Amino acid sequence: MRSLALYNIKGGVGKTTTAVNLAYLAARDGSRTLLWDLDPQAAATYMFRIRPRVKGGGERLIRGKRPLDAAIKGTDFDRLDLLPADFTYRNMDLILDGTKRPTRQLQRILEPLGSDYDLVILDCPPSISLVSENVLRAADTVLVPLIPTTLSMRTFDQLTEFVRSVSYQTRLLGFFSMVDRRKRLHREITDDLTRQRADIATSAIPALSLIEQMAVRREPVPHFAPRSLAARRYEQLLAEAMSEGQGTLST
Amino acid sequence: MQRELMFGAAADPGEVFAALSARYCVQTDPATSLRWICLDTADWRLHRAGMTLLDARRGHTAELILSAGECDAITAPARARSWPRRLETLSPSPVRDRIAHAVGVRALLPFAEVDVRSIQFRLLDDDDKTRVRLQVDQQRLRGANQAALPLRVLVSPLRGYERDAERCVGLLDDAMNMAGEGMAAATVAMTAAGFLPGQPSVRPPRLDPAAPAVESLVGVLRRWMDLIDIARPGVLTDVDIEYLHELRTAVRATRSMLSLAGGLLPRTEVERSAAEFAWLGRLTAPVRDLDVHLLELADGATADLSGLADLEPLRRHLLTRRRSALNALRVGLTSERGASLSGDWRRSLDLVAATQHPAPTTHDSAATQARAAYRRIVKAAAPVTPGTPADDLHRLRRRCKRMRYLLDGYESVYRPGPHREVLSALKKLQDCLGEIQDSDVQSRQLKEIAAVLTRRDVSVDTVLAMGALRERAMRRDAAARHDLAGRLQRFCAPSTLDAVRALDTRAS
Repeated sequence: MRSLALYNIKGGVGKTTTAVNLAYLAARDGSRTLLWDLDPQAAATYMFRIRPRVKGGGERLIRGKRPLDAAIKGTDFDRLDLLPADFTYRNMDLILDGTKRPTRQLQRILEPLGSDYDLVILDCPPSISLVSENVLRAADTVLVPLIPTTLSMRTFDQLTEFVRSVSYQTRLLGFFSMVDRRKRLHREITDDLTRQRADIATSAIPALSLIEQMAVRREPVPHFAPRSLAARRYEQLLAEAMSEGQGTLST
Repeated sequence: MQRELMFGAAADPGEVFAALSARYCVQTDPATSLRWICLDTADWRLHRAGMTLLDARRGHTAELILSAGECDAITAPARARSWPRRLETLSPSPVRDRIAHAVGVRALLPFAEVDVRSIQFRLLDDDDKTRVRLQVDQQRLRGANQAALPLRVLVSPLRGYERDAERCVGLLDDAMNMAGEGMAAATVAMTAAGFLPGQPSVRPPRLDPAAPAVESLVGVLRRWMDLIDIARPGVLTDVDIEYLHELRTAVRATRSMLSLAGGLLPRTEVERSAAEFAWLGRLTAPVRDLDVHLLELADGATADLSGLADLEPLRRHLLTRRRSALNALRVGLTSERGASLSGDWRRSLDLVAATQHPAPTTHDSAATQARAAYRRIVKAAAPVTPGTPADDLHRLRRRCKRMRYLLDGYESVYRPGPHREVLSALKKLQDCLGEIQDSDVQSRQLKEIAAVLTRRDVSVDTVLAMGALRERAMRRDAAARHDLAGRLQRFCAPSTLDAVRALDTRAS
């Protein structure tokens, strides 16, 4: 089972939309896929029309009192399941802090699902916390959505430095999100950095109203607009994320 | 887990929709059509291995769908457009690999062809979230027995919503007349087409021990004639080599029974029929011998021969000879003599059955014959040593076969425990004798063929490879001869004799 996480300290950068679309595409292309909505705001759960509730809350899952697979829900799409968000996830840090080896808990509880799924995608809440440390340790690849601005790049570099400092084996792969090519800064940063840096994906996700419509239609973009530019970009991004390329180190 | 429900053939998707609409918002997709053909070997090898193989055709695309137990079905493009087909004519695929062991040398035959109109239903909750998926199939059997088949409903629960699936099944059960659950659509279709999956094409007759022996003998002989008649078209079309093997087995069984119990039938009839079946046996022998050779070459065990590639001229030679032998066999089977054999024999049996035969009873006859057959084997086995010539061992083997056919034919009148015991000892002896004879025949024929091929200037490598093949046959012969004493000892042991005596249902 491979694991992919969508993570950024900031909110509103396209983590959830990307997680939902990539999960849908992976399942469509034949991978048995699980999307875990770790964000108590439950946006991914909402997109799949599933109730944001886990019996017993996050604590029972983390402490192993309720097996993870008992909380999993099937989505409307073949091979795609969701582990819903729950409002108690807001206390996930406290729950993790109360365990032994608090940064390894997600990795531990995901392990038994290895035979059920080919891919697990973690949609993370925007924060720097024990949850994010767990995610950085558990995921094979962490996809980091970046708005094409200087400050975003600085945050990405800080994250890269952190991962290097704690010697996690995860591969960090940034990608530009919500790119508005009418803006000169977006164009320049996107074009330059995708060329220059191996840890930035070449596929960038444009800022399109089609993507915003996901929340209204409650469907992944490639499902309701399979031939759209956005769908194609998500397909390219998934291919890059699933490739074995090494992009951890900044150039 | 997916549940497969069957409703009466008169039920339609509208009833399913109405039953579920009471509780759920039901969304349907446009209907699609497909046709599937259920495939298996003549002796149900896939069914017995727990597999179902379908050739599913939708528009211009066709795929083979293999399901086995709870595992997910595997599929492969089906390029073959007609059946029957042997395995080696299918394109390489995971499906072919998976069925290869079970199917062996047998051809895949079409048993039922079904047209399906399929509609997907989705049961939605208040948030328009899918809770349950259903596939509703209206099925119609094609062909001579064409008929509407039961309405098939596949209920697929979504993970975490299993209760909704149970509720859905409950709603359907309440509103409609469920014909059953868990009946595989393929099995239902094949049954409707007139086949009984897993069952032999001709069942052994259930004999009445108290009935006159002649009556039972006629029943046993009729069954073997049925088997010959069933195998005959497969032999003529050469669908697969097992038809010939089955035909020959039934011929030998008939001849054995005429030899063992022929005294119960009119003498002139026995002599005439024995000559006809002997002719049929001789007619079919050359092709079978060549089949055994070719199987030996194709067998994976041959891979340990370093010169396998060098044996290609031998394989081509065997195939040429087989074509010629098959032509001769076809001529014989379709000749007046071959064509009338079955009808003449059946008329004879009908005449015998129509006359009164008060004694002996089946019971007496079966028990007496078993003891006599056993004694004959023991007598022939007495002088056997590891160096006994192959021809003498062949005579012993024929006596064993006669007893085997007797045990098969009269199985229902023997006591089951002793029957199993005697059969087990006999089979082991037969296997050993069979190995010796096959090795001997192969060894001799290889020598003859080598002489022929040498005259045709085949390479030295080929001759050497044939030598290696012959040497291997001789090693097999030696190994089997080494085992023979032990097998004979077991068969001739007092415990086996006791079991033979105990075959008699009156024995205490």
